[in-house]
Amino acid sequence: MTRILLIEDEPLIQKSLKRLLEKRGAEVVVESLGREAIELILNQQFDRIICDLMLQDISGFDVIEEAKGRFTIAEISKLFIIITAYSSPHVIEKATQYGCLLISKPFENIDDVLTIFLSQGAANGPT
Amino acid sequence: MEDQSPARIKEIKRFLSFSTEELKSIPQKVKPLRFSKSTFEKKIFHSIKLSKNLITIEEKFLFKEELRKLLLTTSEVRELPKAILNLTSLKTFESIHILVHEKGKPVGQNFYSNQLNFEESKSISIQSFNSLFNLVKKSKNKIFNQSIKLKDDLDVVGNFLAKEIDLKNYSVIYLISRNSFIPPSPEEMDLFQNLSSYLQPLLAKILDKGKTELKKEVIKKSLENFPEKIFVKKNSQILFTNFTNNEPLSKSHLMIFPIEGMDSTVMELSNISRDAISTELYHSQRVSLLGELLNTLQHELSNPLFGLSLTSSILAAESTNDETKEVLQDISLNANRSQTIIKNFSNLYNDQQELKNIQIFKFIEEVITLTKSETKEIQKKIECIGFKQSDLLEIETNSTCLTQIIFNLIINSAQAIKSTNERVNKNSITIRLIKEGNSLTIAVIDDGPGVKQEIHEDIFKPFFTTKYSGTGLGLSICQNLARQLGSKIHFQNNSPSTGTTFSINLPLN
Repeated sequence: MTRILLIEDEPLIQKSLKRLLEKRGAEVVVESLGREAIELILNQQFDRIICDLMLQDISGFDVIEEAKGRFTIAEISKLFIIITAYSSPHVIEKATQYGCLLISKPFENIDDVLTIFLSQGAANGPT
Repeated sequence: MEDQSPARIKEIKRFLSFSTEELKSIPQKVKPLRFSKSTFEKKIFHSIKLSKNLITIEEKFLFKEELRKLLLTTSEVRELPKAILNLTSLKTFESIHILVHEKGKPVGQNFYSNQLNFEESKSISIQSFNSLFNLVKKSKNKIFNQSIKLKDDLDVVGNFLAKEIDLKNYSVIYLISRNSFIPPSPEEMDLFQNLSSYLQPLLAKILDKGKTELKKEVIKKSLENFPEKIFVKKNSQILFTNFTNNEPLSKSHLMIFPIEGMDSTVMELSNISRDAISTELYHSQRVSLLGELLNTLQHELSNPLFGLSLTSSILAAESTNDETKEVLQDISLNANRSQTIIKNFSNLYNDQQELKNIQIFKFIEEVITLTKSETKEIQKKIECIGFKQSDLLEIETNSTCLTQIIFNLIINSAQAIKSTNERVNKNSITIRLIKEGNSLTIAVIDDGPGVKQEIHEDIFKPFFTTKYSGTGLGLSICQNLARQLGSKIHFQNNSPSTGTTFSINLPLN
């Protein structure tokens, strides 16, 4: 079973995505605070980490930066998927540096996005 | 040595007498030496007895005196390396580098000078600058040698002393070297440390001076060339006025801004009224403010709206009660619609200069959506002439400009319709898109009361308005924007029916 960590602080998005992913057979751990998420990333095993950029305490990029303590850049690019409502050129450039897939909110087609979330190591760079 | 002592004491006394006051005002870690006459003489005689510390004390005074001169006379960074090397106390050093990086700039500058009067200034990569800066910052004894690896060559031979200075807008590293491998003596270290305490305020002064002066110069230039008369006044006294000799127009307004941080100083701007420049200024300020506001709104609303739409559609799919299902679907639809509206709004106010291909029919539909609250109870329709809606006709233009033109024209029409109480007409606005050969005409047609003959000449003039609360800028802004698109807005009263048609003609690709 795919084990997913979902870092998202908007409660409705968090609940909905958790539910949709669970329906597709994934195990989902949710977290809305960046610092707590870092603890989870460093101490638990996940197959996929979906990370929002604008969190209440720190930014999603800070979370990814901390994950470097455990993973290589190559691993990070496969493990993390960034979701954001704020995809400015600057954000896209930064995501490119990590090699992570970047998906803009709102999702245009939720089914496609769920498929991407559940795929193995989709390191295609930002979309 | 003994026979020179009285002369030396005299010299030092002289130093003391005129420099105590100045010494006090100089920021430094070492407290200025102050003695009463008797203790001073005792100390001097004591040193003479020991006959070795005297030179150090004297040199220290000389050094500080020189440094103080340096502080007062140097006004450019590029003069600084040479000036420091010329200090008699630092004669033993061969070369000095002063590396300056203005924070945020892609390169730093390396100012270099040596005892052979060779001077040089070249750029240094930011990578080299930063690695050296960190290296120097971490070091305790501040002694380095040429073996440090940098991307750029510093041309230093042997050991050198370096220190970093972190200023508000600049980072500075300075290093002095004797071009030899003999480690610096404690005395030299001492001199170097002393130098540091003087260089910090000096650099802060001269580096920021350049910046402030440049800023002043730029502001002065732009004020001088401003096309309207400007006065800067303090207590009604004129401090500055620009080159323009345009006499203030009759009926012109005077705008007065207080200048922040300067008591009773104001800037007066004449000829504010009746002129396209101030219209554009006013308008562009509003647009950029609006753009910022919309951007913030989009980002703040986007997330919760997305959550709303996602959740309600999931719940709708799972609901077994038809009525609940329907309500949830409506919630989801409405959340999506809000999302689209806010997104369209901020897209319209983005990238002001950008030309892009827009699908004209869809574009007009979007603009109509934006006018919804102003055009309640008024029928709106889009007609295509010379092409079909299904042709998906595209036009390359500046969508921000065009949106504002059409938006303003529709609002104007709506206000014209509302201005009359006679409800004889249908209350409708028609946007007619006419493709003729290689051009497209967009006409906004209303069935309001029409434009009275006597004001035909005035309606595009800034500040002309017939409405009680109008600014008189709407149509003049439209005309300015049309000019930016290389076109012009025309209007005519409809005949035989009432109302007005405003139209703009644009080239098709």
